[in-house]
Amino acid sequence: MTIEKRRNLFIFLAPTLLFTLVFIAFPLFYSGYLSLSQYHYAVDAGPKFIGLKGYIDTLFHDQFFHDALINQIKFGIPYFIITFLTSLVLAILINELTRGVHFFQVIFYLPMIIPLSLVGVIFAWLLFPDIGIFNHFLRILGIHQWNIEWFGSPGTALYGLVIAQAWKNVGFTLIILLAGLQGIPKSIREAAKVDGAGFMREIWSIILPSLKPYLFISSVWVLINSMKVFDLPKVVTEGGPGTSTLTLYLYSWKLAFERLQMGRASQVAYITAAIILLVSWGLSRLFRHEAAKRR
Amino acid sequence: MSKKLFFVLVLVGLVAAMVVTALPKQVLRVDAPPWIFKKFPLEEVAARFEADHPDVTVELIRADKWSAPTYIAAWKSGSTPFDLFIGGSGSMLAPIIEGGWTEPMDDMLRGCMAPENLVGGFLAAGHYMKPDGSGAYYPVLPYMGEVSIIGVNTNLMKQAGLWKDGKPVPIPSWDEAAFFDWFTKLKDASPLGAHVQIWDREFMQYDYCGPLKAMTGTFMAADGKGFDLTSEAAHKWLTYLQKMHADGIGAWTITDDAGYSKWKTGQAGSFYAAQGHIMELVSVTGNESDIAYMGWPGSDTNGSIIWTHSAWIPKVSPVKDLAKEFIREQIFSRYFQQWSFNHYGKLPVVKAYYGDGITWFQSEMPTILAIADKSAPIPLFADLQEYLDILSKYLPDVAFGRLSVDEAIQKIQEDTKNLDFTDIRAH
Repeated sequence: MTIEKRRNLFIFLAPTLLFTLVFIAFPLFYSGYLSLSQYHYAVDAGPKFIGLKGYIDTLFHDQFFHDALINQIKFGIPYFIITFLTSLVLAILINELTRGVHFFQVIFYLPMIIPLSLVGVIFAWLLFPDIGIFNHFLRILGIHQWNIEWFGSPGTALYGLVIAQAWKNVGFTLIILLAGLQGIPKSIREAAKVDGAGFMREIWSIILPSLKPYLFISSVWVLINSMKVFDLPKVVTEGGPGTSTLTLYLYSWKLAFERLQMGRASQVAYITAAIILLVSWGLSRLFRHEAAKRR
Repeated sequence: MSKKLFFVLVLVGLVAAMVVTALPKQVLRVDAPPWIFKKFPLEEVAARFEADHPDVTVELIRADKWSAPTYIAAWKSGSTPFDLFIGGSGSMLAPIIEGGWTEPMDDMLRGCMAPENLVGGFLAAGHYMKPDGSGAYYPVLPYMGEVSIIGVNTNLMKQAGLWKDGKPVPIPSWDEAAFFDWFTKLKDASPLGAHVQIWDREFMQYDYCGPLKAMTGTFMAADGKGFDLTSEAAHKWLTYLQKMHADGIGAWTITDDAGYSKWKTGQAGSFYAAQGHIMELVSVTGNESDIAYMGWPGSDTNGSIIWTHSAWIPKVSPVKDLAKEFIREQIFSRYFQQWSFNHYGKLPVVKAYYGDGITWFQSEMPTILAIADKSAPIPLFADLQEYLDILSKYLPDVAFGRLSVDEAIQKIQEDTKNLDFTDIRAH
């Protein structure tokens, strides 16, 4: 490459490089350093290096971190199942329609354009104990024992958030899976029908195997989405009642911006990132293994 | 006078006027959260200050969501995004007070702002230990207060037979039979419950500590490490809370919105909350006589819990004296303080402002002032945020009957044993 070409290359890459350095690389490395430090932002002059002690304290002695981690699992599993299964079933059904496919695509995608924080406000009002419409219908049906403060009870608050987030995000995975379904050649399905395969057999033996790459993309997206949950508990419950809806990202935020404990906040953020990476890697191994078997 | 001299004088006058108007004015940047702009006549008093001080421009800034790290980052570099902040409760301000980032306000407490002229409980909320431990001072000045008090629905009280001589019949005592007899009468007249309390992270501390203070004069543990959880009074109050909920007397909610909504239906007998929030029922019924105020038994001598919002000046501000003038002339003016009470129920800090000029709840003001004057703020422990997180795990569960009193006390003591209870407030 000539010197002039190298210079031009650098000039064109410079803005992106600068952006990456300032807004991605520097925060990444600085927060990494903070995660190895003890630093109360209002009181300490600067971070004090403590090595891995902070990580050990967080992982083994921080009861709020443990609560948040358990909540993450309790949120993630039902959220994954509900979002994934609902979008898969809807995608399969919509794909069978001869008309109105686009209409249903739009209908189910619409919640995606609503900010998650607003979704939280909407569901908070829907599930209000005395004036919420959901409890109103329960009272009409005579199911008074279910007339509770859904987001005010530790046993139901987290699952209320699961429903709200799933409602918003089903549309995205549905679009991905529908695209995959529409890519399956009709001739294969028709041949299966001729061979006597029923609808359920078609789903199990043709549709699902053909959807593997799309299932992988959807599952990774849903998984990462479930780990990143912050807006909903922040707006609706502030992590309460007690710590029943405290999630890892929300806890990291609280440590940083309420307690001003920058070191601890960074530790929680990095541990969360490590968990996401680990699970994503596991999923990719699983799907790569399955793809290898098919070859 | 010759024409020449006249024109020279006119010319000199014009030039002087141009120079004066072109001279840079002093700028006072006043920052406040949006709700302060709504509930206080900040824009109006800023204009008044400018009229009284032609060489000053007051720049009003609507603060984004409170973010102590953002401000501290600026102060560490020697600059400040504002010269005066109107707003901030104790727990919000604790980090910046601990770091010694605000200008001491002790010199402000003279004349009409002398300590004896201010509501005792509110002023106490601005008194802190110096960061170097060398004494106490006022790093912030409370300019409005709220007191945790019981509001009663007067119509339901009358239906329950708890109204006499134009006043609510007070809760007779902390004796169990008398206490629950009073509330049971009210419950029978109240479709949505006799007594509403909000058990979110903030109000949980007032719900727990306010009645304790009324009962015994204090809500603190004997060793100063946290709230009292072990005395007979503490055990009694927690037991009462459980029984109130179990008997359908206590209509507890976990969120502010749920609590306010329940109260504003007009179907709940009483509400333990800030006096300003209790007044919101009037926005629905349009009738201030639908509400009366009272305290827990003993609150007339022992007070309740108060909290305040304060005015404060960053130490690095270049116009600190100007900011102090603004506070004295406008923030502590009768107009500013009474306007907010007359529109939103926020209590003035100056005792003299509780009389003439108040346009509603005049008959309730003596009750409110009497309780507020003897009240105290929640301490600001070094690990207060963590302490509240732990309490919010267990105290609401006790109130809702999901955890026994003894088990909750044991868990709280276990989980809080390593916390730092150093109180930055001065006592």
